Amino acid sequence: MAVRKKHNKSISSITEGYTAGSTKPSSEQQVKGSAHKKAPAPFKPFPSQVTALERNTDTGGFLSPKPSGNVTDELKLTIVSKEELENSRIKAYSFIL
Amino acid sequence: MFDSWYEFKYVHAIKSWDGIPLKTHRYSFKTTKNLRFLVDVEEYNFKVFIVKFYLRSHLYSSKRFNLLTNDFDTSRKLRTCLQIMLSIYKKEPFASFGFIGTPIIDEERKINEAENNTKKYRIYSVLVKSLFSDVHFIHAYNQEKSAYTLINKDNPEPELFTKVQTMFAHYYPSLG
Repeated sequence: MAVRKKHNKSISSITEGYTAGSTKPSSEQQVKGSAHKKAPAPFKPFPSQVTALERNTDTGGFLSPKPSGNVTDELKLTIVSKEELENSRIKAYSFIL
Repeated sequence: MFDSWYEFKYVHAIKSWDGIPLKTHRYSFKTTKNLRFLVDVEEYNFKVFIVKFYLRSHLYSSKRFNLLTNDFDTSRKLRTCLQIMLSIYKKEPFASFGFIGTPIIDEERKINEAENNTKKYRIYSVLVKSLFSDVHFIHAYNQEKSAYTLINKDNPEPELFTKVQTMFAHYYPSLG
């Protein structure tokens, strides 16, 4: 079934850049048009895609995988000793677990 | 302080396309100042859960974990996150937990914190040490990366601590 194409352009937008009595667009209009063809607008991702892209650059946690899983000294977890735990805790609070 | 918390609700769980993390469980709560916060709990292998929270309006910001809300309601918000951890622990008795105290970025006050021993890490770690005993969990930290983990002692997984440490090294973003 043939679908009739709608023309969304208003008359003012079509005639913009034309001077009275001339059928050619002004030089400014031509420059704008050619520039648009040469350099299209950069792709702007949708918000849902932004989160997907940001996942790998996020600083909030364990996100992007690293090729090697070697534990270097810099990455080692230090176990808190019983004494250290007792000394550094706020004793006014009681344990919830 | 830290005695009261907000009511929270479970929003949904999202499975990752690459399995890292296995799932992200999203919780939500609203403060008395009408601010909606989201708590993302990332589930990894060996029942390791990493807790993160941020203001919902910062959802699409890459700095959502670094920004401050300046609403002077930290204690209640942190206790809500702890209650979420407890609710997970009730469902998963072998659950281990972890968090990272991300550096604060505040352009107005020109604060750009370093990665090691951050302010958030110092507060969270004291709180966790004060509220979680060493009966059920091994407390372990990495001050350089402002990371803290609570490794479940009841989990029957052999060499769990080593495995969690390797996983930490494998997934931590800004390394290597």
